[in-house]
Amino acid sequence: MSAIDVASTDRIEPASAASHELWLRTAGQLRQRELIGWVERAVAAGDKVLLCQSVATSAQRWLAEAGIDVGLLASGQLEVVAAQGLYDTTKGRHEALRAAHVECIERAHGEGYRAVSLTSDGRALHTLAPDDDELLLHEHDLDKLTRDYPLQVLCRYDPQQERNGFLTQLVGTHWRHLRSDTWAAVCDENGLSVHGEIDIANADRLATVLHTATLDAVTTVDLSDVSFLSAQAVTALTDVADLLHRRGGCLTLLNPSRHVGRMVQRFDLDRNPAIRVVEKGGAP
Amino acid sequence: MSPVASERREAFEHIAAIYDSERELCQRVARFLDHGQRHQERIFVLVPPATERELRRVLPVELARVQFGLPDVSYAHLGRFYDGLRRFFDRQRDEATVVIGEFGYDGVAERVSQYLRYEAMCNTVFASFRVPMLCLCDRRRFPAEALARFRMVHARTLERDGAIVNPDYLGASTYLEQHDEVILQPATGDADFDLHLADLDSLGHLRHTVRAWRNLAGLEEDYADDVVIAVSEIATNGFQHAHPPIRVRGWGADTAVIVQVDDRGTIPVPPQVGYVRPHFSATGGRGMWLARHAADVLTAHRSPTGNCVRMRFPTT
Repeated sequence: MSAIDVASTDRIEPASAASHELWLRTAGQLRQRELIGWVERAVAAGDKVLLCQSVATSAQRWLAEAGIDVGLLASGQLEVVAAQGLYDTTKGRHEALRAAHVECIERAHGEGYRAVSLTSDGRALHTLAPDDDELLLHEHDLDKLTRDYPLQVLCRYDPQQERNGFLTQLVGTHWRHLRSDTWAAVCDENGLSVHGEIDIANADRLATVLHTATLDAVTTVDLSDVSFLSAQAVTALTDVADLLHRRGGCLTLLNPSRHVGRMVQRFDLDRNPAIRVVEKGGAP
Repeated sequence: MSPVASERREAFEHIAAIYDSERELCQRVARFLDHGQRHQERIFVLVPPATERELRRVLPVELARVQFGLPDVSYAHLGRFYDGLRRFFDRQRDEATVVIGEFGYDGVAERVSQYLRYEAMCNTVFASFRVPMLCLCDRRRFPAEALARFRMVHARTLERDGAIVNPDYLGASTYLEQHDEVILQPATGDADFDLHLADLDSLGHLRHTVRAWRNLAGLEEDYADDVVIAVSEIATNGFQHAHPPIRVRGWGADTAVIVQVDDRGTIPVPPQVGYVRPHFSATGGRGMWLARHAADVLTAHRSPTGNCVRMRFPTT
């Protein structure tokens, strides 16, 4: 049973500024269309666009099939990078990968591009860093690079192809912008917001997002677009809140949706000294 | 003979009053209220219409401090009733309050057995509230077996001369483990949906199916949401305690919808689970509490292949 008909995360706007984004989505036509949209926006923004693929030729065919101007390949604005080639020169070490990425950004700058947009799928990322620990270090480096350079990175992993523990760690390095088939978390200039449905399948990932966010002093989460919170999701919220409370802080739940509001009321979360609930229009 | 109420109540008091005539009903209630400590108390009466008519006659001098009924608290939906009662007791912490309740037997066997399970748990669930609650029972309407069990779940009984310790009273665990009657009627008709959930990712599909269930069309949004919550939590429990697949079926009955969740679990669902609400920073135990109080009736059974949980949600 893989046909999950939950479209609530599809209307979340893509990252507006340089960012490190994670898509945890099962393969499918819809995901392909979204990726094409991402590429087209990056092209329209004038970015140098790098598609890192495990097999380079299939990407070229894919572009043609997707209706993306293959002329962009000739012009150099759009480039397909073979993950295997990158592995051959770096041996999958994150320091070497970082250097290769910086070189790439600087080359693009030299070619006159304002910014670089890079996207890789899980297969490509595992090809260029076969060791999971190195890959996670590489993801940390990418995160930092997006803050130090005009770089936008989109990492696309298929959750069905990854170990659960690895996915949870990935969520920690992408907590500011992640989308999956059923839920999403976005941290932008408006703060952190969570969208969609949280249940036992993703409550530990919500906990990772919230926990990582608190390490970055983000302690407010907007829940106006959360349509389901399971018992485990409530526990994820209270666990993070209790942790913050022990450090003298509290977790603020902003604009709870109707469903979330009912869960708050049922478990008296607003009486929990570790939690503050702020309704729409309330004091920020 | 101990008095109905001590001067300073320290705990929840759960008192049964069995009557078999209107005269006896009025006499018992008058006895319950006719006590030196009662004159300051607010009296909340949650009873069927016929009982209310009788009590309005016997309570005229008290009427100013009597309220019949509470918003959203009705025996017609047992999960909501007991959660609503707990919330009500919580709100009334600073005001001396007594409650008179009567579950009007409506011929639905699984409802009376669920009512008695909640009653058995009252002393545990309401332990921190210093409220006396008088539970009325019309002997003429209750089946004899249910009446015998009604006696087992109240710590005291109110007799002609006052409340006495009830010799038939059993603690909640003894009652639930040894004397509870769990009724599983055969499923009627065809299921509207019959899902075999293979993994956790299919819970979203389950919720989508329940939300789109035509039997829930037209119900209040929060009510339908409760059905979704309960079904999702019980299916989740299945995944936590058994290997997939988890089978979830739903069908309509006369005035209710029924959802049944079957798993291949080897350990029975403990009978006392889900009655006491977890603390606001508890690290677990919320799922069963949510499901129980979102449903009118929730029963857990052993089946030849595992555990079976059936939930009833009234639709009228």
